Parts: sequence; C-alpha cells; structure tokens
Amino acid sequence: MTQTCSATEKDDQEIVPFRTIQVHPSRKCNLACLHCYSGSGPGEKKMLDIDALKKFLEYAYTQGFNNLSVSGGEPFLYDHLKELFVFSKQLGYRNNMVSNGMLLPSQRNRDILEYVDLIAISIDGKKDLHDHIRGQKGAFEKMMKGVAVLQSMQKNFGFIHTITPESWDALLWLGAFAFDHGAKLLQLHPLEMYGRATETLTGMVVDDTLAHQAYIMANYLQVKYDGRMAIQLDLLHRDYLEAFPQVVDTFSRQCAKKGRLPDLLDTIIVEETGRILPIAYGFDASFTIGNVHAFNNDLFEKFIADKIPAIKILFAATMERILLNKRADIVNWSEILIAESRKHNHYA
Amino acid sequence: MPDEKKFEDALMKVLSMGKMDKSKLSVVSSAIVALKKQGFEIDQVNIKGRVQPDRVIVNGIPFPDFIRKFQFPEVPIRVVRLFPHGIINPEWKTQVEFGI
Repeated sequence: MTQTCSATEKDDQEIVPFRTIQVHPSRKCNLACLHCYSGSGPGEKKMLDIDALKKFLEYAYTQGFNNLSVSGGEPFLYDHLKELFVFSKQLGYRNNMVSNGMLLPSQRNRDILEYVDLIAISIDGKKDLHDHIRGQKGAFEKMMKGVAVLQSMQKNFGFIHTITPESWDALLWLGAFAFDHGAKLLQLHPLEMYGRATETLTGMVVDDTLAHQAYIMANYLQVKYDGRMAIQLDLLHRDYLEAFPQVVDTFSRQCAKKGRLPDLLDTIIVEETGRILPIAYGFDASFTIGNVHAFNNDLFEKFIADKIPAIKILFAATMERILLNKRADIVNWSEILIAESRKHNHYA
Repeated sequence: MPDEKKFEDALMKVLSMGKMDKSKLSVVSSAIVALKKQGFEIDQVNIKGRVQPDRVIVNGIPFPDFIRKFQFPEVPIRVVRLFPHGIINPEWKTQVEFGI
C-alpha cells in the first residue's frame, strides 16, 4: 500500500490520502468554450505520448501519487484514453475525468467508462447560456444525451459548473437539475481570468460581491442536498483560511515533515507537451518539475531540493497577501497563487 | 415544498440586493464561516478542472451529528481518521479525514 501522509507511523499501514496527477493528454476538443483555461479547441492536434506518460505514472505511483484526474481538451478525443485508464487502474490509481459529455454515447467511450471511478460533466447554466459559452447551438442537448448514458450505466457522476456573473442566479436551478438527474456531486468553480477567458469574457470577472453571492448560495445548497448530493465550492472565506491554513497550505500539515513530493503538494500537472508543473495549470514555468519524455528516478528529489524552498515562500506570501486584503472576503486561492507564481523573480 | 420555495425566493431577493450593498452579504458570509470554524462544515478547494476527490478533511471540533451526516446510503465510509491520532472525543481543535 502506498504510504504518503499520516500522523503516526502506525497509520501508514491503513491510510492513503489522495494525491492527484492532473493530466491534460491533449488540448484537442470538439468545442472551443469561451472560458476554457487551457485554450483547447478543434484545431489542436498534439497528443501526449502514451508510453512516456505510462512510465511517468508508474514512477509517480511509487512516490505516492494515487489519484489520476484527466482533463483537456476533451479527454475522449485522446486516442489512448482507454490504454491510459486500464494501465493506471492496474497500477492502483483512482481514475477521474472531466468531460463535456457530448461524446459519451459511442460504444468506444461507453467501454472506457468501465475504468472510470468518477466523471464530472461540465455545465455552464441553462440551455441558452450553456450553448453560448460552448460556442455551439445544441451543445446542451448533446450533453444531456451523454448524461443519459451515465444514468443508464449507473455510473457515479457529477456536474462541474463555472460560476460567472451571468450564471450565479441560476445556481438554485442548477442544484435541482443536477440532483434530479442523479448526480452525486455538483462542483462550483469560479471563472478564472486565464486562457481564452482573458480574450472572450473580460467583462465577467468574479468580483467579491459575486463571490459572496456564490458562497452563500453554495452553503444553502449544501444544507438543502445534505447527504444526497455533495456540493463543492472552490472558494474560501478569508477568515476560514486564517483559522485553517492547512486546507491549502500543504507545508503547514503534519505530513509535510516526511518530505516526499506527495507529502508537500496535493497535485501536480502534466500538460499535453509532457511538461510537469506543480499545483495547477498555468503555474509559472520557472517552477517546472520536469517532462514525462525525459526524467530520471531522482526527478522529485531534485525538484524538492531545487524549488520547494521557493514554493514555500510563495505560499507564505500568497497567504499574507490574502489575509491583508480586507476588501476581498471570499477568495479563489489557486487563482491568486498562480498569479503570484508569475512574479517568480521574487521567489527564485 | 411551499416553505422551501418561499425561503429560496427570499434568499434570492437578499442576494440580488447585495449587488447594491455588499455589507449585508458580508454579514451572512461571516455567520456561515463562524459556524464552519466550530466544526460544523468543512471547506476544501480544487484547482480548475480537477474533480473533487471523494474524501474530506474536517477542521475543528467534530460533533457526533456532524460525523453522522457523512453516512450516504450509497457510499459507505471506509476510513475515518482523527488527528491527533487516538483522540476519540476531542475537546480541542483537530482534523478528521473521511474516505468514502
């Protein structure tokens, strides 16, 4: 059993916290959504080499990573998706993925679902708004056909929604929609001004007022669907962060003392180029861990020695910035952290 | 349910008015976070595009009813872990991790 993070040595035999590798095997997509953070679209052709990825997953598993989350692009357009999931499942990973759901009805993709533990379907709001942001009339209806496949196969699935100024007042509707269709999870993530959104949705910034509205509504939905559907909001109140920094600050957790990479970072990213980044898509390239096409078995050790000290300082500076900014009560930690990482000269 | 609909209409009205006066929203959000800090709820965040893993960390003093809330009929709890290890009825701030 993988041993990663626990309070006592004795616990190591029993507890395995999730440590995630988020893989973007391709930016190829059947859509070109207005808010896409990876700038994916139909014109993107590059695909991650499956053999290199498998070799890296094998290495990372021995180091303590155990949760695979595939994003994109549309993951179902990755030629080697089944091979990837079969391999990662055999190794012991838990397989998760995010999809627009439109390609689910094919037999090939139904077969792939057999190896998926949890799939989240992206939804941008009611039909008209969804189609607008997806840039395709009929996208909502096609997505619903995919949801019907998940229902018929009795798969565990959820919905992921990007909160925008145009969608927040439909969150009550969205909760009922997700629950009525059998979702086990409704994940609410605020729009981040990154990727295509910086060109197409400049007027849709999630300000503190909207963050408050989403925060209150999400908490109401948590109560409403308590025990029946999980509501996950990717925003934190500043006071909560101050009281429990370990929610995001992995370095303040007890397991960080063990010093292996999965004890220090919850998530690493593999881009379609093979580049491995810490923490989140868009993190500054100066913090690159390596590349799946060329790495040695001391990859993580070297990264810890070379770059973790700077990341620790970055975390502390981000936390300080958030706690000092009394104008923003509700914060998107990862967006602020990524923005701070780009001031890398301060930390390098 | 009529009461639920009535409450939700009122909630939407308050939230919509918040566009003009954020201070009212701040009061409500502060009340929510005050409850969370007592261990009634847990917050976690995910990076964009990562699905919420099926595990939660509780920070605070977990009340018995709080733990009961995680008994989803379809998803039995496999692991319950308390920090500091071995504390069954913690009287101080602690951390609980559930694997479901």
